Amino acid sequence: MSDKNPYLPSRAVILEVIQETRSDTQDVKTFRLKLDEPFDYRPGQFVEFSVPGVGECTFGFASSPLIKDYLELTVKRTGHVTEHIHMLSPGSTVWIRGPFGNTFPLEKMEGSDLFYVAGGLGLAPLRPMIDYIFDPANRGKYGKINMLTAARTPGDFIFAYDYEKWASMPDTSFFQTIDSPAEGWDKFVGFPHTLIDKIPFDINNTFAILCGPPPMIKALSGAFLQLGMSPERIYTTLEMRMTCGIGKCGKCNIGHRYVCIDGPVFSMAELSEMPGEY
Amino acid sequence: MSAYDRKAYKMDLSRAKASLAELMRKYTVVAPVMKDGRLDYAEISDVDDVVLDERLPYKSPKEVVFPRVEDVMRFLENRAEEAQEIKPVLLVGAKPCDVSALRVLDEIFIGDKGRFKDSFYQNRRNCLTVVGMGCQEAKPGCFCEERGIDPAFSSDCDGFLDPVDGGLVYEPLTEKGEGLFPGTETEPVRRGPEAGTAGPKTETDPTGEGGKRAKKLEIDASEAEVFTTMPWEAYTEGCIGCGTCTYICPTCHCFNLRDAEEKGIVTRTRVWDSCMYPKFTLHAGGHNPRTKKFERFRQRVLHKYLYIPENFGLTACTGCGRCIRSCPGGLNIRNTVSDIMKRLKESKEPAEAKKTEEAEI
Repeated sequence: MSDKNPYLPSRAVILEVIQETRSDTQDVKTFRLKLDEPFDYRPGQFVEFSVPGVGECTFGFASSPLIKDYLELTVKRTGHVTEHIHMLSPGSTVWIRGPFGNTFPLEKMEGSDLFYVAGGLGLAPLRPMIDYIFDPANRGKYGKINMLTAARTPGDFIFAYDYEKWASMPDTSFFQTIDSPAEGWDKFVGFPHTLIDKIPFDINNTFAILCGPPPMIKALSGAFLQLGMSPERIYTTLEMRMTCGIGKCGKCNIGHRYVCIDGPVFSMAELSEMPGEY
Repeated sequence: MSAYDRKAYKMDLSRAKASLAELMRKYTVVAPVMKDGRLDYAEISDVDDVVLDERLPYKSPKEVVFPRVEDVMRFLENRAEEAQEIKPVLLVGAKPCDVSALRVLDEIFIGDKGRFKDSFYQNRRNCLTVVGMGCQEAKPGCFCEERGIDPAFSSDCDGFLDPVDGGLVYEPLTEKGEGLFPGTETEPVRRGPEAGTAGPKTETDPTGEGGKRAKKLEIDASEAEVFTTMPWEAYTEGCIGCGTCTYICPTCHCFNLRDAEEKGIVTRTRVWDSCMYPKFTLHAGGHNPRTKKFERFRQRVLHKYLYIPENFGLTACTGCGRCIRSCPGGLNIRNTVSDIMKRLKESKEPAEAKKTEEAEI
């Protein structure tokens, strides 16, 4: 229990803005920030990001918690606040509140293989875990790693500059897919849930970690379950509209559980006991 | 009953009002007053406006701890500073249902079961003194007794006023309530069944289960048992999505944070929000987990009767009946919960009957 004023953000400065998507809309950017008062966080957690006079939005951390000099948040331009965030440039002052929420159960996953599946912007909240586990100090605690990342078009992949590095990591297979065929594309085509049976993995010794739009998560978890994976081995991180981040404002609940404090990370075993309202 | 020493003081009405006038120098006093032809809790400027009787005001007094709009913080160049303005508030004449609503809000915002404490609520609560009064008015839609609330008395106050022949008797219930209404020391008013003043009879119980001894209105079931199996669309038929039920409710507490800029300074405010609006849960990406009205009414009912009980250990409905009286579409949370209880009972009965049968065999 914390008695600290939970609504007061602390100041941060934008160090760098990275244009992620190269499709016509160019609607995803990553913002590298330096906090006045840095804090520790764990993979899976999120922050509230403020632009004074415009408002506050929720974003999962998009960079490894092992990086102490800065943190990154990946933002899709999709509404009022994100429109303004996209207009910010290096040197701009912004405000951050957090960290909030639970974390991926990294200790529980030790000794197992991992299968990350991300759709579009869904790769961003997985990146802290991906980079944390690829760190030489942690890599040995986990088995084989599969990664499948999906985007609408070849220009819509985020963190594309990381893919070569990830694909070259020991005992790691890296796959990409797009929604429909495109000229010059020789990788997978189709939604992720139709592809996982084309990727060899040990169903009994793998944790699946999923993030993407809710319909994708529902289809994908269904596909893993159908292949015989235990719901306790399928994890996802949920998106939900929220205001406070501390379980008070009443927006992000699924049944009695709040995505902001009980989540955002849930196993399919947990989700199966909750109403399907997400 | 509180363990506090039972002492009481008798005064006539003019002395009570003189005490109130004195208290107004120290506190912002909120009390029932007649406003636009109806009784409502309001900040008073003249003690003669105060109505110290046993009728239920139109709205709840939740704004004393949870204002519709309140400043939360201000952005300065290099830091963010707190912007809440707090003054001591004395709430006088709070009815037992409304006092019990404060207990619900306390649990949610600052209770031990929550993982975070809301310092803004805490600040207001620390500065609040509550003097209760009984309620002898069962308005249409009132069902506090079915919610286990005694309309004659609440011990969750700092002091309690009882109308008696020739004036009022004030009984302090906490240290905070000590000395607020001085008078001649007298016997505390006997309350409850022993005194035969159990309060008013509730609205005729449509289920015919009886008023006072009616089964407590609560949902004892899992989420899975009620989420998709109950006729939520039928319960919600008349809803026009106006959100009045949430604004008038003494325990509804959903909120939004909004920025306002004045003379170059940005202030962040906390404003009431409502789960009955479709955009309440609309994701930035366009997905919305609650697109239909019945899904939103289901959220309102189950939040009060299942989710808050699960998370905080108490049901977040006081039976004040305000949402029922104010709903332009005739939605009725009491009848909805009562119907859910009936259906749950019916669905369990065959199973139980079967169990008994098996046991006999």
